Amino acid sequence: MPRVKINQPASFFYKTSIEIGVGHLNYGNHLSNEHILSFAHEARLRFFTELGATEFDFWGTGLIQSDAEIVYKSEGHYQDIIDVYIDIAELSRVGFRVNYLMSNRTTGKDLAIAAVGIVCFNYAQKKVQDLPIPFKEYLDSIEKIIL
Amino acid sequence: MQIESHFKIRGYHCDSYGHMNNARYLELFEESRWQMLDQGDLVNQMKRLGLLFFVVNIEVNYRRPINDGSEIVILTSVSDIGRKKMVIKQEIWSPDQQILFSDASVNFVLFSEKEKRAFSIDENVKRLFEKFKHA
Repeated sequence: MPRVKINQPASFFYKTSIEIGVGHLNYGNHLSNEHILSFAHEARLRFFTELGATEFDFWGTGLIQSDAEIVYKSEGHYQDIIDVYIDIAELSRVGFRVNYLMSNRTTGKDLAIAAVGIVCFNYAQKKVQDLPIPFKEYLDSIEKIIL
Repeated sequence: MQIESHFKIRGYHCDSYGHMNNARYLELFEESRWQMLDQGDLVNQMKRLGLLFFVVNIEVNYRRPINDGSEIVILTSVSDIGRKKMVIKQEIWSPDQQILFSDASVNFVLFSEKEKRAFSIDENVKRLFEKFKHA
């Protein structure tokens, strides 16, 4: 049977925390599956904001998501604090992958691992663009978080 | 058999880019899965057996943006039934099924409320889902 395989990263460029709210729960009274992607997006934007970039102006280009993979590890419940760790990998000429570890600080268990593909994209021209060099330089310059 | 679910994309599905937000795809995929389960009366049958649907993996490809006002059709079918897990294949198409916007593979288990663990899929349960296999 096919199964999503994501390599769990061991070091990270960024960490942020998100609390599970009542609007994140589903009929099972636990975090609904789609919110993992919302948490991933929120964490990614916080990271980019810290770099002084946005998804509309990422050193002169825009960003678009090409794919996503999620492996669900455990349940999340109301008011649990989720630590979201971000790693950037597989830099190519036009994009990169964002790998996530979501760890439930309240239960001490991993909540999910996820990966999304990001492509540099000019929304006005509808064209793929080159990955900005300052982003690569930034990644080379900072010390990663080791778990 | 595969299930067709029709939707019109509204402003609340979209983000600041003006296209459907990546997490919203999962909501529409989920709604389509529930429609499939409804058609087979599987929701009631699983309730009677004390089984819950737990998604364990999802893989999504975003092939083209879907803009506000677009009409879409989601095709949902069972692609594989294993000993513990099942795989559902889902695709988002234009209504004429000429443009593929996205496709997804969703793995789930049936979780036994009583035993608090994944249920081993028996022939009876397998038969209920097999009607949604699509060639």
